[in-house]
Amino acid sequence: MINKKLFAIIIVSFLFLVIPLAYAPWFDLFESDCSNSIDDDFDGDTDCADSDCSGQIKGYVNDESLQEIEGARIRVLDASLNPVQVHYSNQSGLYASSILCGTYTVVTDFQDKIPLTEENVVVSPLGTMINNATLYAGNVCQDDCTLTGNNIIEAACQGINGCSFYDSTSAAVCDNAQPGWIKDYNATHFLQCAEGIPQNKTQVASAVSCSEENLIKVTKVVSYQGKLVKLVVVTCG
Amino acid sequence: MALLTSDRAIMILLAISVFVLLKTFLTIGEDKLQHDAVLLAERLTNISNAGSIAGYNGINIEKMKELRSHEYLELKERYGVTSDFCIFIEDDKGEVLRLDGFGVGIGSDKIAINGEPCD
Repeated sequence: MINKKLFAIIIVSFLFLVIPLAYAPWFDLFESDCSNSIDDDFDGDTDCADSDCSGQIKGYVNDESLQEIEGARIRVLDASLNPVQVHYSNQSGLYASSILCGTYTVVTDFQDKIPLTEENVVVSPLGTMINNATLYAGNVCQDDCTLTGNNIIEAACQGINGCSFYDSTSAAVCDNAQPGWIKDYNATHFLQCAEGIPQNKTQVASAVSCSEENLIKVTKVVSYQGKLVKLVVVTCG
Repeated sequence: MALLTSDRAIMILLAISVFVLLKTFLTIGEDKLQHDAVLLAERLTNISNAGSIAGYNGINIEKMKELRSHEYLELKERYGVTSDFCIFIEDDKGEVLRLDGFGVGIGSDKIAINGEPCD
């Protein structure tokens, strides 16, 4: 008899208390196991997809002299390298955030320092992943064959990050020049640094004539595309 | 005889006057050309001038293109010169540098460089 009563109480409790609570939008039971592939709290999210299983990612960003870097950007990317979160370090170089548990790639960068990429950063359920980053100053080749932080072409950048000189002569000619400068490729050709194709020199000897009686020629030495040239002004009348 | 001498003197004086006048006009014309050439060169290369084609790294190709986009008469007005002019660039060997999309120079077709009109 008692057992029947107890059974009835349990059934009634289940029907009127547990089930409504579980499905109530304002009441989310806890995902009790974050690795059993079961949606324990019936909220539609299973295991690491459930924020109940979120962990924390945090870390300090500093430079090679261990000085904290404020304003460093920390991008957290998912397995498809899509950005999930973006953070900026504070005055102490610290960043911290709650994040769904899982495996991420973390990219940290700041101004002209060499960006740091860390793959397979695992945030465990309810765990804290400490991901410190040290950024080093350095020059990285860019696609226009210059280094980060300056506008000088480096022949050594050939083949790096999209930098592609026409050939080794072009690389040698444009070494230490600036993008856009016109340099002599050889006696008959010139090229526009850094990645231009050598072209025939189409130069005409300057023999100036005037349809009227008098002609005055004034020249000024100026810099053009990295070379000293003469700007010539001729008046005629 | 005296009359003949007087006529001769007047003729000589007249010739001298004509010569002096001609010379004066010619000199004024040359001075004007010189003045305009110097003024134009200065205005083109002085960075603080609105019509300058120079930047802090030398001649600016974008400014050259902008210059090229104007009518010749507009340019004369812009730089305050009345003489016909031609602007071009020579390299260190004295050869004309042709810029991409440009003719031999920018200016009047009354001036030719190696037989090619400067326009």
